[in-house]
Amino acid sequence: MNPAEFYGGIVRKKIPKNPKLAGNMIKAGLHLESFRCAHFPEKGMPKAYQYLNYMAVKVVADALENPETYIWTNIFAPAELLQTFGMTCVSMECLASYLSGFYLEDYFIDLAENQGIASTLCSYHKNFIGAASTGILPNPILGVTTSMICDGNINTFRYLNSQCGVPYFVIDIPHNWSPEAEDYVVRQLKQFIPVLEEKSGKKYDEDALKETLKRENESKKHFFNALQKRLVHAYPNTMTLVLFLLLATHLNIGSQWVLDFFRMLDKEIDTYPSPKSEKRLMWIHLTPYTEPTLSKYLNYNPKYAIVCDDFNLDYTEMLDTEHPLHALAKKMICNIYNGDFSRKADACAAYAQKYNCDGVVEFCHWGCKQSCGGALLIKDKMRKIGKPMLILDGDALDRRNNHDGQIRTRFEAFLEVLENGQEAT
Amino acid sequence: MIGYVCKYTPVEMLESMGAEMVRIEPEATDFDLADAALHPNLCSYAKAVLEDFAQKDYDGIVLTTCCDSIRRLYDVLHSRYPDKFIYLLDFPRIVNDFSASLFEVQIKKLAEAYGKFSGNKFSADIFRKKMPVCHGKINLNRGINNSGHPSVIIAGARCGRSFLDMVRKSGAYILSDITCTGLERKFNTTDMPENSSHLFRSYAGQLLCQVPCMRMTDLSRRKKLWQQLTQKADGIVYHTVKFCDNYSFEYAAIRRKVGIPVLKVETDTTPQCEGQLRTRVEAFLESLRANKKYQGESTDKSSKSNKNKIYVLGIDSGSTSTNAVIIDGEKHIIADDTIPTGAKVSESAEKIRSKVTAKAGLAEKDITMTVTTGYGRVSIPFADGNVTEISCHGKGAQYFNPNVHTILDIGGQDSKAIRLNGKGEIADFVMNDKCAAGTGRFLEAMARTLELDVSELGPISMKSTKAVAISSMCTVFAESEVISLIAQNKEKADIVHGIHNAIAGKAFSLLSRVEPQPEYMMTGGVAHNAGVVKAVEEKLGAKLYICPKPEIVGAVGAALVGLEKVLSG
Repeated sequence: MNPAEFYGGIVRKKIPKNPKLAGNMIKAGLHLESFRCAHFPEKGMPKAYQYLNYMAVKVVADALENPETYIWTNIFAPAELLQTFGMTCVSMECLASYLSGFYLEDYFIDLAENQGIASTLCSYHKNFIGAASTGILPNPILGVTTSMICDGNINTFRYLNSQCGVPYFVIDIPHNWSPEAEDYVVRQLKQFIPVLEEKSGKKYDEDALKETLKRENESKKHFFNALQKRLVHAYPNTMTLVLFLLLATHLNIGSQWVLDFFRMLDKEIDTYPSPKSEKRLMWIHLTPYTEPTLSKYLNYNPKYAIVCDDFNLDYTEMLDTEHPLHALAKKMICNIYNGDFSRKADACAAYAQKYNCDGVVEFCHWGCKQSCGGALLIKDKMRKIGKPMLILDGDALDRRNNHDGQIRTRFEAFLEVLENGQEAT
Repeated sequence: MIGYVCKYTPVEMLESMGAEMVRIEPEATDFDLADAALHPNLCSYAKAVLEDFAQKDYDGIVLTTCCDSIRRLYDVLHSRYPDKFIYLLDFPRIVNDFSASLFEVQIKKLAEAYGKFSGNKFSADIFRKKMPVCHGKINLNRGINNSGHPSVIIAGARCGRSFLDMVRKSGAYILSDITCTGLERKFNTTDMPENSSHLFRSYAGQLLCQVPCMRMTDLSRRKKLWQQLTQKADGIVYHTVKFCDNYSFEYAAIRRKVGIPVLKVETDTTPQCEGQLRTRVEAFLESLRANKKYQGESTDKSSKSNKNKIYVLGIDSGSTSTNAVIIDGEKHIIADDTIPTGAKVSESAEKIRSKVTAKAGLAEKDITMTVTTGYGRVSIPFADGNVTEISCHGKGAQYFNPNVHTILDIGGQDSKAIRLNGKGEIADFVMNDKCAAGTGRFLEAMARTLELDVSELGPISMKSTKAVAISSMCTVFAESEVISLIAQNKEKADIVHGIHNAIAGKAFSLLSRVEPQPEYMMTGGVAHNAGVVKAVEEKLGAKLYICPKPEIVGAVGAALVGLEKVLSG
């Protein structure tokens, strides 16, 4: 039993009778982890990723200590706007992942299902609902979700409002971009601003938002540079780091620390040697960071590496800093996950080619209909451009839903296909 | 013929353009095509629509951005049928003037696209004629129930006509159907001026103002509707579709708050689980009737009959075994027996009747009444009546131990948790879905894989020193997991212990859903397995009462129901 599992076991016993103590233990565990990241980083982890790892844990640990400035969001919420009010976005997906880091997901998922929540709902949502309903998480001042991409967003926040009394705001995102659709979203953002002013006690500062978007554009440039350089430099990563990257590309994008991280990444990657006969993978959707076989093959492995993923590249355009609300509206509507699926399939194919991927893996996460429903369309697209693609079914969060034997057979067979240079699986 | 699925579809507008609009209510026999084109874990309704579209002669389909599964269905249909009219209509989740104007734009785009496809033009005159008009308020319930049956509300996700028919035939009066597509659509035309541009705007606004589905942001109208309807209904049948999660949120939110009993049923649009569904609905209606009956009726009518000459036969025809019990007028068990059900229910019922009457030293003509229960209850021709196994387990459990308030029954192919009220009536119950996870079949499959007899599982698990975690509860996956554990040289006792823990986890989850109250009892053949009993007790933190023959509890309940009928004349 590893230390996190052991510690999680103690927390688990405290939850029913003393949820506050259990919550404090989780916070203490996160602080301990951020200390470990700062002083005893994983062997082989590049410096930029060490910084990302440290910040990813620290930001959440600090947010939980300061509920008056933290907000529950979904991963696509306009974090830039929230930052200008001094608020920290902690997405339900992120919190659910961290709780899984304590080996508690089965407890919370069962709890949510026992309330009547469908067992077929995404495990991230169930985990978060279960955890929130125990009272181990401090209530934030607000919940904010966009309607786009995932059915679970509005319903989860509405349900949490009824269970925990957390007020929430929904930003409805149309399916496709049009001038009317953009106006529709901008209008909602304008209605959202007074809510944020009231909750934070601060006035809206458009110049601060413009500065945030400038940092975001700058961050993106460094990120894209790094991805380009990854073609000729072997830069080790892990499945967990691919997920942590989402805290930089989504929840904290526009912040100074994220800009610092991407600058560091862009610079450090030059210092790494060129890869020797590595198989380059593009990952689609979530990485199941707890899965043993995939961890063995993909974490710091010089032979096989995830060199890009669709989630961290779901909106690559630069933002119009002169019209910040319009820029945010456009960013949300034109996310590749939104709209017709052909947009996402085209984007994935373009990334696979641009970053010279040998193969593509889509992980169909349990309960995520929007993603798994289009897996075969992406596979068709990849077949057309000659990129072998593997579709894996499993659960990125609930360890009980993954069968390592099955994943191992499929993944190893896929690696054999890549080694043999066959066209597709 | 153009199919549609969502109540927000501008059906009347497309009809006025000459489209023959058909609401798709699929009843799939399999998902072969859908699983290959979409993904097995997509909403069963969306998959069934794909099957239906592939089989019938549709010219096109108008889908909406109502949920993730339907959006992906659109993407797949659009790529597979480039020559047909495959259209995805986006509609806002917020209802206000601004969203109505955005929706108006979307509707006009649809009209334009359909015009291009069909060569037909929109006509405001025909449109007005096609419009189902409402003068005043739309009535959402069917009024006073004079049928004598319990009044129920059907709510939740889309359900087909056959489901509604089944509920009706089971003896329910459907007061209101507020599922996705159950509501009548009517429009107020006085608010639709002649000018076609305003007409579209008004139409868009009224479409958006229907009773909101779970996709919309503001559900206050829906909540108000719940308040109105629950005052008039005896119970709610809450329907969800496999892999459609949206309505489970509403179910979770209302189940303990509406003040009337709620039954949750899940379907996948196929007829495969019809028998189990019927059992649940009938048991629910039985409990609604019982609640009503006991409110008004007085009790002991035993003086009407001579109890000494009464012999009632109860038969529980389960998926694996058939159990029979004969009781006399004083509720004493005279004889009982158990045989495998085999391929034909009526034959095994006939056989057990002969055996058990012989065992009791009686002839078949001495049996005053026969009541059947279990899956095969409706297929036994000599029965005088049948009752669901839910009610029978309730009655049977109370017979063996009147202090029991919560029953866990693990049978051959289903498991159930039942909570009884102070009078021994069903207060709440849940059953597993049609998957065999956590049932007797699951144990049988695991025993087979381990090359053990089912009866050996209990004793062997007691020798375990450390349980091995079994992560999958799917019978098929768990089997391969067990095989890999065997390959890893894990101790059989530890594997069996792990299997029992997995079943206990599933059982605990079922029990948690009925708000269990002590004392607890376990019934069904699996209660013979001391390992499972121990694992459930550990999870529950309480002892389980196990009667001497836990497999006959359902049959005893059926016999008791029969005796009540005999005694009440």
